[in-house]
Amino acid sequence: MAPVTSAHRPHRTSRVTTLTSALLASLLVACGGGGGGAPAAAPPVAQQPPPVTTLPGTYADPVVYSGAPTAALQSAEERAATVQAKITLDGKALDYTATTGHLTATDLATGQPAASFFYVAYTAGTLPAAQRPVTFFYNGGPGSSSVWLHIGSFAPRRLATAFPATTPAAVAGNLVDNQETLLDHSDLVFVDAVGTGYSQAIAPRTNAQFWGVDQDAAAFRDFVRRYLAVNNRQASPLYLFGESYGAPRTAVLANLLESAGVRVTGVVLQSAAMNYTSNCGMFNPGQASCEGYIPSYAAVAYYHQNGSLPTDLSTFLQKAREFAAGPYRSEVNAFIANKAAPSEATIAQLVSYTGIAAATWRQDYSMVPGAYRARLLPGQMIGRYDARVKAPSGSALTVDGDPSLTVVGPAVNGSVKNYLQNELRYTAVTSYIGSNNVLNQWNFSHDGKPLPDTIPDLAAALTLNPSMKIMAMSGYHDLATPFYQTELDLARLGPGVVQIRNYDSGHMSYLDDKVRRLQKIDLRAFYNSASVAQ
Amino acid sequence: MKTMFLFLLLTCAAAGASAQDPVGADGQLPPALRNRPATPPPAAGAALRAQALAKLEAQFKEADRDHNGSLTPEEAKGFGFVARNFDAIDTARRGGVSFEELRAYLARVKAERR
Repeated sequence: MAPVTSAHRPHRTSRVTTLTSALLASLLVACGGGGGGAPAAAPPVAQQPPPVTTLPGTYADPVVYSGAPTAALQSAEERAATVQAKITLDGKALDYTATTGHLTATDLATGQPAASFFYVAYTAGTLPAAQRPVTFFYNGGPGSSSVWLHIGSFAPRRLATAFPATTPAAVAGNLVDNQETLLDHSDLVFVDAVGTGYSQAIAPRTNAQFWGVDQDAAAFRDFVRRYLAVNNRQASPLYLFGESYGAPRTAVLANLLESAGVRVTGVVLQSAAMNYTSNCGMFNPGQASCEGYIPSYAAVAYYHQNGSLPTDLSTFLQKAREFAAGPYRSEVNAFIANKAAPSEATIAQLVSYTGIAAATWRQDYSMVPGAYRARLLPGQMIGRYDARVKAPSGSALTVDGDPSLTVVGPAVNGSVKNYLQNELRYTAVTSYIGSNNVLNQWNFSHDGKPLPDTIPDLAAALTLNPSMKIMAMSGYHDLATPFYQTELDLARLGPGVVQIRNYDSGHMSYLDDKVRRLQKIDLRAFYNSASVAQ
Repeated sequence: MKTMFLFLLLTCAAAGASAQDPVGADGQLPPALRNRPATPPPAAGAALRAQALAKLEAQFKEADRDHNGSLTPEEAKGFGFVARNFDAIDTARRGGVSFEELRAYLARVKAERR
C-alpha cells in the first residue's frame, strides 16, 4: 500500500484550528499531571462529531468514554483504525502499520469481559512471529495515561522539544520521525490504564474497581493475553516497558503473566519505584531515611554549581553512594527516632556535596526532595522530574510544583488527540484523558502490606523464569525516583540479576535528545542479550 | 497563538494553585498514606526467595479449587505455568501436581541452566 504522507503532514490551516481546541481540552487535563492535587476527571464533554472521512482504515469511534470512578461501558467492541505509514530512519524508509483502538480484557478466572483497553500498536517487518519481539509500554502515576512514553520515547513518531531547555517552548503537534524508534527491533504497543486515555471498565465492573495494585496488574495481564491471542503473537519474545509506577506494575504483571503461562523475555524498568516504603519522598518529612536521594542531591547540586555533571562522574557518584551507605546511613535512624544530632563530619560532607547550609542539615538531616528542591537555589524552584529545569519561585512554570513537568506537559498532552486523528485515523468524541487523579481512590495495598514492595514479585517471576532479563534505566536528575534508591531496591535480587543504566537526564530521561540516543543503544543491546541472571 | 498559549497556561495555573501541596510533600500518595507504616527491613537473599515461593504457593492454592493440595490438568488452567509444563512437572505420571513437585521442577530447570 502507498505511504500515507497526507496523513503525516496535513494542511497547516486545518491543523492550527483543531490544535487550539484540542490544546484547551488537554491542557486542563495536564494541570494535574504527575499526581499532584488535581480535581477528579470531569465528566466527558461531547464535542462536535469528527468530520466524516473516507480515508481507508479510519475508525470514527462513537463511544463516549469516561474516567469517572463509577463509569462503565455497557458493552465494548474490538474495533481499530489501521494505517500504513512510513518514516525515514538512517536515510532509509521504514514501513509500518499503526493499529489504534480497543481490545477487551476478559477476566482470567471468570472469562467475563472486564475492561476495554485503548492501545496503539506499531508493527513492522515480515519476520515470523517467533523472531519478532513485541513490547508493551505504559506510564504510571497511578492515574497517568501512556502519553509520555507514546509521544516522547521510542515510537516511530515523537514530539520534538528542546527539553530540558525552557526555550524555545515545546509546541504541541510538532511531531517528527523518531530516529531512536525501537520499531526496527520490536513491535511496540502503547496501552493506557483503565480510566485513562480511552480505556474504561465494562459493566458490571467500574473504573474504580481497577484502581489498585493487584487489580490493575491483573487487567494488564488480561489485555496482554488478548493482544497476543488476537494477533497470533504467543510465540513472540515478550517485553514489558513500564515507567515510574509502571515499573512496580511491571513487576506484579510479570509474575501474573508467568504464572498464567505467558513467558516474559525481558522487562525494562524506567525510573522505577519498586518499593514504596523505601522512598522517603513518598512520606511526610522526618519519617524515613533519605539515603536513597543523597547521590542525586550531590549530582544535582554539582550540575547547578558548574553547569554540567563532573567529568569524573563515576568516581564522584561512587563516593556519594559510599557516603550515603556509610556515614549518612549510620546516623539517620537515630536522627529520625529522637533527633539525635548527627556528627559534624557527616554534616560537613552534606554541605560539601550540596552547598546547603550546615544549620539546615543539622535541623533536617533526612531532607526530603521537596525541601531540597526549594532550598538548593534561593529564589528558584528546581524540577522534581528533572532537576535541571529551574524557574523563579512564583513564576508561571512553578504553578504545578514542578517546572520540569509544566515546561513540557501541555505540549505532550496537547499532541495526542490530533496525532490519533490526523496520522493514526482514530477519532473519538470525548477528550483523551492524559492524566486522571485517581490517587485518593487507589488501593496501594499489596501482599498484605499497606504499600507495595514489588521486588518479591520480580523474584517470583524469576523463580518461574530464571531467563527473564531485567534492565533498569534512571536519570541522575530525577528527584521522584532517585537512581541510587532504585539500585538499592533491585540489589535485593542478588548480584548480576539486573542491568543498571543511569543517564544524565531526569525521570522521563528519553525527552532529552542526547539521552534518548544512549537509551536506544542500550535497549538494542538489551534485546540482543541473553539473560545475565544466575 | 503564543498569547493564547500563555493565557491557557495561566488558566491552568489558577486551576492548579488551590490544590498545590506544601513544600516537602510530593503527593505520590494520598494524605492518609503519607505517614510511613512500620515496615520490617526489605527481604533479600534467602528470605526474598522464600517470599517469592510463598507468593507462588498462594497462587497455587488459589487454583487448587478442591483444596486437595494437587492441581489436575483442569485446575492447572488457573495456574497457566503449571498447565503449560504439566507433563514435565508430573514426573510421577499421576495426573496431578503438588506444589512440592512444582518446586522440584523449578529447581531442575534452574540447575539445567547452569
